[in-house]
Amino acid sequence: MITKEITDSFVSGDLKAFEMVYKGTFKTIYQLVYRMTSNRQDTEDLTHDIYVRAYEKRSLYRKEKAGLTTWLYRIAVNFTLNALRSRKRWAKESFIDNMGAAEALIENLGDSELMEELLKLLNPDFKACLIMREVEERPYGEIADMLKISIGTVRSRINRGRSQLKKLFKARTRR
Amino acid sequence: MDYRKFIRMLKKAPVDASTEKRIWNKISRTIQKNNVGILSFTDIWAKFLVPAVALAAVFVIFFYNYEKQLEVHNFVQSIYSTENIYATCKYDPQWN
Repeated sequence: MITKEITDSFVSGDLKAFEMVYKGTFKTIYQLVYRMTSNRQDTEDLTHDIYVRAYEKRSLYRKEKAGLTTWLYRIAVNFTLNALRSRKRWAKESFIDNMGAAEALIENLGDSELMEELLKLLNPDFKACLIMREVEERPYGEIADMLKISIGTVRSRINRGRSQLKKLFKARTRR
Repeated sequence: MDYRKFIRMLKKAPVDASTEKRIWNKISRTIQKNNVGILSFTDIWAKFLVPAVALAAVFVIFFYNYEKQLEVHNFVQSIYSTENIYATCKYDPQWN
């Protein structure tokens, strides 16, 4: 539980308070990053970078606008999205654009490997929306606010991601 | 695996205490190493640059006004200088 006192101490730069904030939010942030990257090493590196960034930018936190967990979550989503976007393999040639190659790739994988491969291949923007909506069950408005996009765009990204994944699963079971 | 199972699997992202501890140690080391506690650019801007710019602006305004005043002062001085008064009054001291 992150109290007002802990939040104030964190904003003023207290490392002990920051550790308490870390302990209170770690699970949420780590799971989000893991779901986005599906790689433990990347998740650890990104989680580290997210918290260091949050500590550096603590003076920009406005408690009247959002809770500390929401603020951290927003940093985590955008930081991870930027990291994923900067990786070329996700940029243009995601399986959304290259369905045939993706089908061939995942044909012989077990469930957990398949999940990881699908996550790696999925467009990061679709993936972020899908994870926040389907896995974390966040409302559309909150997702739109986090990603600074309209609710219509959130719905569209979720639908596109969902239908591409379903198509892929169907193609796999046919074989 | 179908879509529903995929989502269920995603919900079970692994987290363990040792990972939490390891990442925290790394974070605190980085913070101490970078000395992130020292002022960031925003802090420096807010704490030093803004007052410095404000102070500089006050000095500029002050010296600008001072220069203006000096100019007026010199102008007035030049009008009221003895030679000028003599010249204006067409007074020749040697007439005495």
